[in-house]
Amino acid sequence: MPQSPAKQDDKLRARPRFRFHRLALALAALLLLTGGYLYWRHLQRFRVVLSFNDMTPILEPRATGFLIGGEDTPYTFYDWRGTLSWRVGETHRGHYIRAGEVLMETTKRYALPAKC
Amino acid sequence: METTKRYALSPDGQFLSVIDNIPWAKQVELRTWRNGKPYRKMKVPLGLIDCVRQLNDGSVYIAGKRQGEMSRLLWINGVRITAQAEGYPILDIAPDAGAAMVSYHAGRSGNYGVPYSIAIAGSEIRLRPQVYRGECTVHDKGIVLFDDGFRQLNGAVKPLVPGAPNVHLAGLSRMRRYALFARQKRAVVISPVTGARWTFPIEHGAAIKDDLPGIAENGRFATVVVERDAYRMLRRLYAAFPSLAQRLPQRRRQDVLLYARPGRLVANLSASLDREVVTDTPWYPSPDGRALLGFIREKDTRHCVLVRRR
Repeated sequence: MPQSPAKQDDKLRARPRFRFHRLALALAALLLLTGGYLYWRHLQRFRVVLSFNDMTPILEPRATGFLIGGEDTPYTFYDWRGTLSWRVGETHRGHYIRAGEVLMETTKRYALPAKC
Repeated sequence: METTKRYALSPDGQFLSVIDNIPWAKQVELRTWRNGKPYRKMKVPLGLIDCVRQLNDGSVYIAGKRQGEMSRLLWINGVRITAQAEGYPILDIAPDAGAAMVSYHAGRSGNYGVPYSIAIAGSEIRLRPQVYRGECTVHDKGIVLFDDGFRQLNGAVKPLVPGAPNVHLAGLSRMRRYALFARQKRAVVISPVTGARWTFPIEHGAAIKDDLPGIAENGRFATVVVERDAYRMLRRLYAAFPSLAQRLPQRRRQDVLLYARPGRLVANLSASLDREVVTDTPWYPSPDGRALLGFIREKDTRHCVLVRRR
C-alpha cells in the first residue's frame, strides 16, 4: 500500500544527513591549530644574533650580559639581547679606544635546529 | 719579553680589571674600567700574576710574586694597597673574596689546593686554613664545596647534595652561585650557599660530559653536553627486530641540552648539515633561558655565537 507524501517527508527528515559545513569547520580548526603549533615551534628556534669571527675570545657570562674579547681584541660587554653595553681595550695598534665605540663585527641570522 | 694579560670581571659585570703578566718585571700596570669608563690606573709591585679577583665595590685582590721573592696577596681599594699577606701562593679566590685556595707543595705528588678563609685585620690579610678532605672549590660566604657533594660551612663538614658522596661535581656557574652534580640517572643543580636545588633526569645510555655544563647566574637554566647513541631513535624503532638494530653502527653523538627549573627539557641543539655545535666548551644560558652563548663550527672555522629565541 503506497505511503502518503507526508509520511515520506518525515522519513527523509529523520535520516542523518551529511553535514558538510561541520566537517569544513572542523578541518579549518585543525588547520588553524596545526599552523599555530608550527608557528610557535618556529618562534622557539634559536637564531644567531651575534657571530664573532677570527678571534680567540674569552667569555665571561654574567646575569646582565657577557664579556667577550681579550688579548689582541677589545673587551666588549653585550647584554643578553646582543646589544653592545660598553667596550674597552686596545686595538692592534696598541691605543685604547673610547668606550662605546663600535668596531666591525659580523651579524648573521640563521636558525639552529632546536627541538624537544 | 713574553707577556699575557690577566683580566677579572666583577660578579655584577660592571668593573673590569686588566693586568699584563710580565714574569721578570718589578711591577705591572693595573687598569680598571667601570661600565667602560676609566676607573683606575696604577702600578702594582708584582711581576708574575697568579690570580685576580674583582669585586662589585671596585676593590680588587691580586695574588702573585716578583722574581726571588715570596708570594703576596694584595687588596687594592681605589689606587691604594689597603692590605696584604705574604707567603701564600694563591691559586684561586672566591667571588666575594671570603676564601681562597692556597697552593701546597706535596713532594712528588705535585701541588694541590687547600681552602683558606680570608679576613682583613687593619693592613693585614689573615688567611686561616679550613678542613681539607679532597678536591674542592671556594664559594661566597667562605663556603667550601667538595667534589663529592659535601659542604664546609663555619668549620663543619656536612653532605649538601642528596646521594653524597656517590655524586660528582660536573660543573659550576661562572660566579659559582650554582653547581651541577651528576649521579647515575639524575643531575642536580644546587646552590652551595642556600642549598636550594632542582633535578633533571639523564636519559638511559647518555652521559653528561664533565666541566661542560653551563648554568645561568640565577640558577633557573642549565645546559649540559650529553654523549649518546647517534642511532637512538632507530634502535628504539627496531626494538621489535633486534637483528636489524644490531646492524646499526656504534656511533656516539654529542648534543647540547637546555633544561629549565624544575627539570623540563627546553631545547636540544644538535649538529646540522653544514654547521656543527661545538661541544668542547660550555654553552652558557641567559637568566631568562632565551639566549645561549657558545661556539659553532662552520666550514672548519669556529665562531662564537649568541643565539636567541623570541
